[in-house]
Amino acid sequence: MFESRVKSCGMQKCLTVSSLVLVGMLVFSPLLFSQTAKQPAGAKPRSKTSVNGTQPKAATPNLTGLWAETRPPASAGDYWVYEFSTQEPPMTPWGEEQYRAAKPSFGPNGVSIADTNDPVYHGCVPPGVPRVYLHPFPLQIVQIPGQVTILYEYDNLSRRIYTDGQAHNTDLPPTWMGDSIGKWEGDTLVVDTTNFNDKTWLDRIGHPHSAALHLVERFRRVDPKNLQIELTIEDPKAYTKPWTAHLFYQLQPGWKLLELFCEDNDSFLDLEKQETITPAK
Amino acid sequence: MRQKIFGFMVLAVSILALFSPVFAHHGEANYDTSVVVDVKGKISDFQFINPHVLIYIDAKNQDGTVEKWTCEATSPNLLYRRGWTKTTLKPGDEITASGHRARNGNALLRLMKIVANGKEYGNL
Repeated sequence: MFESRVKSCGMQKCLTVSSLVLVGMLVFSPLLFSQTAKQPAGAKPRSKTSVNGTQPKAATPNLTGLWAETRPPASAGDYWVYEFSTQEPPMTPWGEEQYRAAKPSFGPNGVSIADTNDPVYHGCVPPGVPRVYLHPFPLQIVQIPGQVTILYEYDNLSRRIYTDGQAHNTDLPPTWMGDSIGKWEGDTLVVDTTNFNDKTWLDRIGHPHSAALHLVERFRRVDPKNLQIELTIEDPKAYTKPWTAHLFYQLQPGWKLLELFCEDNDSFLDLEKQETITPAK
Repeated sequence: MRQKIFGFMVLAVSILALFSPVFAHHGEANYDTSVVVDVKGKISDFQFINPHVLIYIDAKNQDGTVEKWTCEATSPNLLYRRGWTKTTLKPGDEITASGHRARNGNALLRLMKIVANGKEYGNL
């Protein structure tokens, strides 16, 4: 077939085809060479020390994967699905006032859905950070040079954590998820987040935060299958001093993130109505 | 002790600590978590939907009347990862559902486990 085509082409056409083939070979030959070239026999591998004598940077730890929260070691009860710690955080008078005014649907002071003033359940607003960790759905970490992205299954939320050395963006209005920058300290990704709005609770039982919230998260893969996140919560309006909490995640290699949006369909709304109205006799 | 009340049974248990369902959307304040209720009947509808999976059961009372129950499980995403799909249950399936009844006395159940088609599904 090829031979017959060559025979049938005219001189000008054949020259054009030949030129295109030649150009193609010149363009792609470096790529082909770079992928197939071998070290000459007897060649020494490159030294691990660079030409100026400095040691190369250690490889960046890899947090990529789909992670699901697990019960904290030696935890008592289910506190970890609605608050960060069994220790009461040190609230300011303003923080105490906000906490007393909260009517959560979870925890020891839980009220019915009809009576709750939880912002997430009135208007489906995002839970924000760090509360999003308390919703029992997995998260996926995607790591590329200069950026770590966290995809949360809950509400299909996402965060971009810039690790390229840029400073916080101070030009935007307050946000639900905050503005995050990160850096690597050894095997730990340290994420600094600011610029939160004050429309969310810190957790699912009504501990407050203000727009002054400053969150530091330390992500560390303690072994190939386990990830720990240490949270340091600083908010001088709501808390008298910074306090820390720990979250525990396990790698879930076979899982995929699924769609999940806050929604109250008719069936669910009807159920919630039935939960709160007095039945007819 | 298991007490039959019409088409469903109430079982007061002292081992509630064994069951700690984690609900994604809201708490349990509307449900009496001190008592476990069993509802036996036929599935009239199965909705594998967000935010919570709903199972509707027709439970036949001793006098032959049918009582319609609405049973609430956790998120479809969480159940999917435990092997559930949108076709795990279907109308007409025989079912025994166990869970906490609504405090206001309505025929609503916050599910803990079910037995359907001879198979037990827990941690709902």
